[in-house]
Amino acid sequence: MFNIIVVDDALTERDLVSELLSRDMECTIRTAGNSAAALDYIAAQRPDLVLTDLQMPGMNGLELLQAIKDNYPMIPVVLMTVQGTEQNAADAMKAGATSYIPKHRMTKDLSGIVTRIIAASRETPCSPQLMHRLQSAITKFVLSNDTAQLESVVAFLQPLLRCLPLGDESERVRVGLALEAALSNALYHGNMDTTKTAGMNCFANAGIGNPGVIAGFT
Amino acid sequence: MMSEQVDWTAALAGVNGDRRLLRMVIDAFLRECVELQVKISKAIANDDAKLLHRCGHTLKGTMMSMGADAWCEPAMELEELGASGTTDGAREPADRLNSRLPLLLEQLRTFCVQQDD
Repeated sequence: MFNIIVVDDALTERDLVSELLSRDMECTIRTAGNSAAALDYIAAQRPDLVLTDLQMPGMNGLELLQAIKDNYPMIPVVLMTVQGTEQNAADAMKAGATSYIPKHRMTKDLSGIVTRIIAASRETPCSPQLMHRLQSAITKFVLSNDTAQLESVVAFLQPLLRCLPLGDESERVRVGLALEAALSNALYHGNMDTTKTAGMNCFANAGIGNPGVIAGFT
Repeated sequence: MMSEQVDWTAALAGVNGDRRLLRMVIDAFLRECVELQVKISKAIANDDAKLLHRCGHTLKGTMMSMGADAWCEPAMELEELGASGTTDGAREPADRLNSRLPLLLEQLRTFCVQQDD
């Protein structure tokens, strides 16, 4: 069962996030009121996902993210942000957060984001070692206006991301989410403008360039 | 001053109209609120601006998510004072917060009782 830890010093927020997660998915949920307690749990249990607040007393969310990236790079980290901390969210994405969720959108967005991370984390259709040896591949899709196809194409491409020098599995998941966001942009807005989404920076960091080269819509 | 009534439309919108979820959020807030009030008093007594900032921030954010915007003003003032690195002048907004909170808590408890009926 997927193991998630929710880190927030505010009891109300911890309870809300735990309740939303337990309603929508089969998972084990643990909560921590500060980063130190969270790190103790992570060291002992190696959860599959960390959801953390940004602003906390003591070690804040960004510092917790860095500690996790340094010591447990496989674990994806999602930041929970409040209005007015968008710059911090952008900094968190640059520092390696898998994604972020504005708290005022928690009831609407939490389930979808966590579900996508779980799906991306569980994807193991072929040997990671084999994919690291892949030298080249050309993949071309012509998609219709169907969001379900976006999820499918991203699921297809996730193993190929192992060919890129992304560093670790959580980075691969992050790039996969960013790819899906970019394709959604293309579907809904008719372009691949990646400049307005913090998560898109990871394309540049990964040397992928404009992901528009991989897809066209009819 | 804004009307000191909880905006239930906004509160329910924040939880996608789910009354049971809102009830759960209110339960958690009722437990957390007293703790935050104590911490704010300690922050002022110990001149701990960081703690004041954090507690003001948490209280403000939670109250906004429950449609209690009318009560946010003193919490916001405490947050801003803390963020600027001082607790000077925090006693007045803290007193204002403490005098107003019982009315908010009464409305929240009434909502919970109604859900139980």
